[in-house]
Order: sequence, then structure tokens, then C-alpha cells
Amino acid sequence: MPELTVKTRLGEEKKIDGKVGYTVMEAIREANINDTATDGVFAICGGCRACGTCHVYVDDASKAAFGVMEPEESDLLDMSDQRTGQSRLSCQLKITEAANGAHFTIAPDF
Amino acid sequence: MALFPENTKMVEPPPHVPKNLVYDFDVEKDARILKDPHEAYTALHRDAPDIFFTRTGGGHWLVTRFDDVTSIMMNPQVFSNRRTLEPADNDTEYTLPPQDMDAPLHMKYRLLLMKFLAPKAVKDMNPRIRQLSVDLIEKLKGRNSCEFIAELAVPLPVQMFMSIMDLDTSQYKKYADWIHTIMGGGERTPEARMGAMMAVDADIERLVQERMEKPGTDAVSILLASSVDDKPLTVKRVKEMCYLLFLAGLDTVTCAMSFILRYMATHHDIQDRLRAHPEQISGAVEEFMRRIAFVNVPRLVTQDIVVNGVQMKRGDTVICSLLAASNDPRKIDHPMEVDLDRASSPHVAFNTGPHSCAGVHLARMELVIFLEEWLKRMPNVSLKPGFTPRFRAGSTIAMDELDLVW
Repeated sequence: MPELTVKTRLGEEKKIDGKVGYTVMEAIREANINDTATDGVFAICGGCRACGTCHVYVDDASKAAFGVMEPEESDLLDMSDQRTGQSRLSCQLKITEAANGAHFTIAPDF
Repeated sequence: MALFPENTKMVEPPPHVPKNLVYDFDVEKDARILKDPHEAYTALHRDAPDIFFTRTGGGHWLVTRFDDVTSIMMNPQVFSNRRTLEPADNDTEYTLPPQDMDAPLHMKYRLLLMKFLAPKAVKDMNPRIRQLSVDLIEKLKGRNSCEFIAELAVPLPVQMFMSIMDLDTSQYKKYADWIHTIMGGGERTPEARMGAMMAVDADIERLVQERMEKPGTDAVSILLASSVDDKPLTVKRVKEMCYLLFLAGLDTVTCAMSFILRYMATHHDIQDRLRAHPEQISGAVEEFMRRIAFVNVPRLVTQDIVVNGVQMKRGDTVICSLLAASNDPRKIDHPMEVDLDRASSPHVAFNTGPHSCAGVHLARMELVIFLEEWLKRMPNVSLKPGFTPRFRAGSTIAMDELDLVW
């Protein structure tokens, strides 16, 4: 199973399992990374690309493992002040074997 | 507020509903809900099938389990937000867009709401919420009791909403009374309710006209300047959306504040702990919201489907209880307890799926900031001895008064 590294909003680095065929958002949620203790809501829409609350930064070295961004995802990311060149919605990142070793940082909500 | 004001009839179940799945539970006025809504809805996990058909309210399914509610909300192709099976388009009449729209139109309108409800927009409201909260709490100085709902839980969200719409907040009592009447508070008659709806309608009309002549930076002006598919929004559509903001944005935060305070009033350990650890308030709000969830969400079945072994047919109506789902013992241990030490608080209090609450960031921010300022300034509060809450049922479960003493 691909292993992913996620840096939480509290700055902690966690290694989590990423099931092939699932999304990075689902992997983060499965791992019980519960950042609501600091701020924000994680993936309230459940992964149907409607809320923009599963925003992560994908390390440059890991970008190639995931598909390209569609305009709808970009529209939602535009709603965040925290958008950078590394921004993605983690619900749109499908896990394949190529995702093994990928690094993510959960973006701040505000 | 009534879910289906036009349909209060008791009907016989259609032939595809097996007898063992029939269980009557009137979401509008069942005596059990009016006695204690959270007890009544969670008792369904024990007393009724996971998904059952109630003959009340024109006959509909009621869904009570977390996994079932989630799967329904994540399947909007089958479970429509429309009220009829007729095909809809941008020119169709909507009552509360984008709440009663389906894909792909829904998302285009939702993005317009996010212009003023996304975190980036809401962030700037932080100082205003804090100032309003402090002002309201400071009014309690030198006293030892209050009626929490009228004095705090109504004015805070109503005045915040009025700020977003750039309305004169000194008029807030008028708005508070309208929303209370529309939502079915007190002993209000249907005529009073109709009167309040017409007053809101006239006020929105006036507001839209005013902003067309003199645009500002408020939500109404933003909507008036917006387009969908390169076509500017019609005045009628802007009015419909304002009506949704009015209905969805006011009563809900009031409900959340009052149910949270009611719970804390009987749990001084939580007040002590959060006062000593204000950094835990944000996480606590999530756990509170799970425990006190209070919204019922209707969906229309557009094609035959089996959910958790239950055959539903095209044209059936489904009501998902976000309250019951967020307190499902199959999903969460000892759900009726607010446990601040949980690893996580999975819930659907703000719903999930494409129609999940667009105002969630503002709502959470109001709750967190209010609790921070409340706990900083107030000693432990209790329920007034002999206090018996009166509840409202329907789409939003609410309390009419909350008498606190300290």
C-alpha cells in the first residue's frame, strides 16, 4: 500500500496509508487526522468538489503522481487566501502506486 | 419551520413499502419530539428500523443512520433537491436557490455564495463578531439571570447577517421577530406566518432596489453584479437567493448557540474546562455540533434505488435526520455525551455532499468567538430551577426560551 506523509496544521508530520483507488482526502480522514482542534472543517462536502475545505499543498517532487487540475477545482481554490502553486483539493487526488512517498501539508483554512 | 407545509396528510404507504418498515413519526409535531427532540430522534435507533416509512406528512421515508444519510447525500443524481420530478433549468422557478437546485446549475450558484461565505471573506468578520459578542455579554453585568435566546442567541447571528447585507443593525428586532414567526416560534398563527413572509419579501424587494441604484460591497450587491453562464443574475433570482440566506443563516446559529448553552448549563465540568483551556473551544464546537445537530433534510428520489436493503421508488420523498445520524451509536461511542477527549467527532450537523452548509465557516466562527468571550466573562451558568424547555419541530429543531441563572 502506498505510504503518504502528511504535515498537519499543528506542524506534526504523520505517515499514513493510502489505499489505491481512494483519494488523499479519504486517506487523511481515515487516519483520524483531526485538525478541527485548531481551525476549519475538513472536507465537509465529503469529496464531491463543492466546499474547498480539504485544501493541501503537494510537494513539488510529488506533483507528478497526480492528475491535472480541472477548472472546477481551480474555482474553489480561488476562494482561499492560502492558495499557492502547490495547492490542490485532496479529494481530487486519486491514489495510485505512483503516490508512494508523496508529501502533503494541510493548508490553513483562514 | 414546517418541512412540507403543503402536505400534512396522513397517507397509506405505497405498495412497495413492506409492512415491517412502517413506523409513524410526525416530524412536524410528534409529541415525543416536542417533549425532547434529541431523545426522540435517537430513540429511533432503538425503536424503529434504520430506514422507515412514516404515514405522516404526506408519507415519506425517514433515515436515521450516519452511513445511510451520508450515502444519500453523496448521491445527488438519485436524491434530488428539487421538489418535483419535472426537469429544471436556469429559467425554472426556484424557491430557495441554490438549495433547491441540482447539478450542474447548483454548483455555479453555490460559488456565488462563496464569494462572501468562503473562509477568505469570513475572516474579515472576526472583529465584528467579537465586538457584537462582547457588547451583548457585557449587558448581563450586575445581573444573575437571563433569557439566553432573546438576549444573546438571536441578536448575535441576526446582527451579523445584517452586517453582511449592510442593513441598519438598529432594526434588528424587526428581523428577529420575522424570522421567529416564519420558523414557527411561539403560538404564532398561519396568518401571522404569512404576514411575516410577506414583510420579508417586501424588505428584500426594497433592499434589492436600493442596491441596484447604489451598489456597495455587501452580499446583495455582489449577487446583483454576478453572472451564471455569462448571463447576469435576474433581480428575481437575487431575491430568491436573499430569501435563502435569510432563512438558512439566522435561525440555525440561534439554535446552535442555545442548544450548546443548554448542554453546558447542566455540565459545569465542561464550562470549567473550556474556561481554563480556551484553545480547546474550537474543537469543542465540533463535538457540540455533533451532539446537538438539529436539522432535517428532504430529498426526492428520481430513480428506483435500494438503500441499506430498503427499496425506494422514483417519486418517493426521503427525510434525513442529521440529528439522528450525528448521534448514531454505530458510528460513535456514547453519542449523547459531549466528550471533549474524542479522537474525532464525525458528524453531519452541517450535512455533507454538494449541498453541505455553505455558511459553515461563518457559523463556526460565530460559535467559537462567542464561547471564548462568554466563558471569559461569565461564571458557571445553570438552568433556572423549574425551567422546562419548549421545542419546535419541523425542518429545524429549536427551543423557544432558555432561562439561565448564575
